[in-house]
Formats: sequence, structure tokens, C-alpha cells
Amino acid sequence: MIAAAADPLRPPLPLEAAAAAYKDWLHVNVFDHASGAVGLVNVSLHGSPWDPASRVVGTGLLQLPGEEWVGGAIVRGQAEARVGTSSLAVDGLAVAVDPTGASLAAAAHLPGDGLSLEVAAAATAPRLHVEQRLPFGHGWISWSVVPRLAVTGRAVLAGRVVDLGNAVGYHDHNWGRWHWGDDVGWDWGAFVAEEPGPTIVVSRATDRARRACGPAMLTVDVAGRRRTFRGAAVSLRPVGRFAGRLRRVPGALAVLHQDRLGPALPSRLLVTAGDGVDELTVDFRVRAAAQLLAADPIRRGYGFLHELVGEFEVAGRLHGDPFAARGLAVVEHVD
Amino acid sequence: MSTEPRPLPPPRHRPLGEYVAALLDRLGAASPAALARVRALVGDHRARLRLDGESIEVAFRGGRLEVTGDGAAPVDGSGFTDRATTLALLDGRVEAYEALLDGSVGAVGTTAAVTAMFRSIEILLDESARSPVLQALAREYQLLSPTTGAAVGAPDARHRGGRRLALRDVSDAELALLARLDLLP
Repeated sequence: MIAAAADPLRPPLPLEAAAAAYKDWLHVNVFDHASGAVGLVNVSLHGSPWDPASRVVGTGLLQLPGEEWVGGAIVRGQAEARVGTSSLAVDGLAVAVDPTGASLAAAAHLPGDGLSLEVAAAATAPRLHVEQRLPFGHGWISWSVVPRLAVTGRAVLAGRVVDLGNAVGYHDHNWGRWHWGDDVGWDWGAFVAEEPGPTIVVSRATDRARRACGPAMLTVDVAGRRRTFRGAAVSLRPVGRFAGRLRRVPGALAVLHQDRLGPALPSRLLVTAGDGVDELTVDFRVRAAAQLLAADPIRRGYGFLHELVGEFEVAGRLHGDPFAARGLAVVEHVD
Repeated sequence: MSTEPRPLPPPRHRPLGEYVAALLDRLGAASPAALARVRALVGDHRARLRLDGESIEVAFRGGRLEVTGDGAAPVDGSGFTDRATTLALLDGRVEAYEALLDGSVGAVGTTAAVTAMFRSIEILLDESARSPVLQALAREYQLLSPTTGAAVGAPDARHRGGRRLALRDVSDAELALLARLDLLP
């Protein structure tokens, strides 16, 4: 049984000077190796809870091999969000994490976009807390990760059912203080192999242009053990350029940002980690990409979150033993 | 900090003129500075706007928006589109350049008038990102049909992604110029 840990939302205190920069979100990815489906459900809060201009954003997207993205994003006033201790919901989108942290539920009902998804998931790897406030532009970011969950549920795409009963999940919770449009970004990836294979999570904060990248962190969870690599032991190397059609939501912001039609996204990403004892190389190939445009509700500015999904292979040596695996992954490039 | 001072009326179908008036009214409530920028851009221009079968003329007179029916007098610029394209743009199922290139969205007029129309749309979209009442108006438009006021179902299949572009009325020389400047999609 995985030892659970509570991970509540982190709202600002009423008199906090940086409350306007408040961000808090709950994110779930679903990886179904049988169908190749990769899905995401994300509900997030932007801006001070006491400012009527603050927003809640809900996103539900799913992509099957060779097909277009299904789903979309909605933006509402934050007062329309249903906010729990560790749950967020708006309209038909919700992520609810059990207060003990051992399980969660996620739903994305977007009938206008042809997607209905509901999953329940139980943690099969321990939570990783990065409670420390990592410098992020003029603010900071913290996060908490459950890198692997056993999923049950299903998705319905315009009447077609995708059984997610044997899918694998990933969950993280990010919170902090920054404004979209600040000189901030991040690279993050979750590489999830079929059971009993590893889950690899890599992350690093950056500036928007990737001229100043923070130290990267990579964790590998397999067979109940976790291995972590940091800093110079981790490298991310983008290769090529993604040439496919980019799904951009929400549509109104996509119209506004015609300058962001063709971002320089890679077609392949090589992630290596090694510390002289253990090592691994991940080879990720992008099959589809979506751009989620985030508007700051308080200060004019925009962030661009690119979700790249596809397949990966990994090989290396962990705890002294060689290993290899393959699976599905999502990589996020934010600027 | 923007404010939302009065409760919103219940959603209902609105004629095109009423939508345009409500857009600018809510823009002014959300950001007087943004509405002032729109007024400055539009100046004395008069425009004809057409959405499906509805056509109106708009102008600012004495700082206030004047909406009239489609008249015979010449206007400085005209803009046109249809409901299906508008919904597809709002849902992110079609890109703005695609709608422009295949004629689903169009504008005709003097350079200044056409620029004013599109710049005004940009200001509206930018402010909408920070205005719940503007977003509520867009939501109302997305949900209500133009004739019955009843909710609509799935979007027009014509705009379900994967659109083929059609570069109409563009000469070979113009295409070559666009390609040389790396402006082709």
C-alpha cells in the first residue's frame, strides 16, 4: 500500500501582497497503452480569490494515434469554480484528490467538443513533494507529484467508447505566484511505460527563451523504488521540428495570437541522466501537439503551454541492473 | 482592476446590432481605456457588418456607438462572416488565417478602415481575457441559436478541424511575394 500524504490547495492569505499572482492547479494525465490514447484533465485557479477578475480554467483533451485532438478548454470567473480542500471543478471539468492523497477522480465533460471522460485512480507510487518555493521569474513555484496511478474509467469521443480500465495515470499539483507574460517557462515530461514498467518524470524551470535554465530534476519510479538525478546529471536535447497541426485553445486567445501559430517545438526529445552509477536515455517522439493559451487575469500577459504527446523508449541501468521499456508520454514546453 | 458592477441579464438571442452594442458596452465597463482606444481607432469611419443574413451599419457619433440598419450610403469598410465560422474560431477548430484565406471571414475597405476593424477585434479579444462579462456574452452567443433561442448541439461539421485552405483571388506574383517573405501558412 502506498503511504499517502495530504496535498491541499495553497490559497493566499487575505492580506498577502502577492495574492494577485496566485496560481494553483490540479493536473491529471491518462495513458492507455492498449489504444495509445493520451489524455489530460486540468483545472486551475489564476489570480486572487477576492478579485472578481480572477479566473478558473478547465481543460480536457484526449488524443488517439493518427487522429486529431478531442476536447477543449473553458475559462470562467473564479467565483464559478467549486473549490475544495484538494479539489477543483468548473462546469463539466473536475479534478478531485482524496485528502489523504491516495486516490483521485477526474472528469472532463465537454459535449460541444465531443469529449466525455471520467476516471478514478489509485496511487501506485509515492508522492514527491517539492514544497520548497523554487524561484520563478519574480515569483516562485512549488509542486507535488504522484508519478503513477492505476486508472479505471472510460472516455467517449463523439459516441465512440475508449476503455480506460487498464490505463496508467499521472498527477501533479502546482502552485505559486507569477503572472502569465513574465519571463518564465518550464520543460516537463512524464514518460509512463506499461505495467510494471517505470515512470520517469523530468522537469526544469526556465526563462521563456531557454537562455537561462534552472537545474533539472529527473525521477524514475520502478518496482517500488525511486531514483533521482539532479542538475548537471540531467540533460534535455530537442531534435528536429514538429510539423503537424497544432490544436490551440481557447479559440478566442488563439485568434488574438496569430504570432504563435508556428512555435519551434521539437519532433523528438532526448533526455539523458547519469551519475556514474546509474544512467538512462529516453527517446521521445512527438506525434501530436496542442497549445493551451493562458491569459493573466490581472496584468496583461500571456503564457503558452504546449502539450506534446507521443511514444518513448528508454534504456539504461538502474540500481546496478540494466533495464529497457517503452510507453506513452507527454512533454510540456511552456513559454 | 476591472469591475463587474451589475448583474447580467439572462441569456437570450440578440440581433446582431444588439450584440455589437453589448460588446462595446461591456468593453467600456471592463476597461474604459480599451473602449477609448477603439473609439480612437475607428474615428469617423462608418462600417457595415454582416453576419449570415443580418447586416448593420455602425459608427461612433459624439463618442457613442450608433447602430443602424443596412443603408444605401457608402461606408468606409465592410466586414462579414457567418455564425458557423464564428463558433469555429471561438472553439479553436479553425485558425483566423484559414478563415480569412478561404473567405469565411472578410473585410473590404480603405486600409485605415480595415485596420481599424481588425485592431478593434484584437482589443476586444485581449480585454475579454480579463473580463467575465465579455466572456459571458461570448458564451451566450455560442449556446443560443440565431432563430429559436434554443441551445445548439454539436458544432458545424464543416469546421471540424483538418480544413483545406483555398487561396482564392491571389495571383502567382502575390504568392511568390508571400513565399519570399515567409508569410505563407
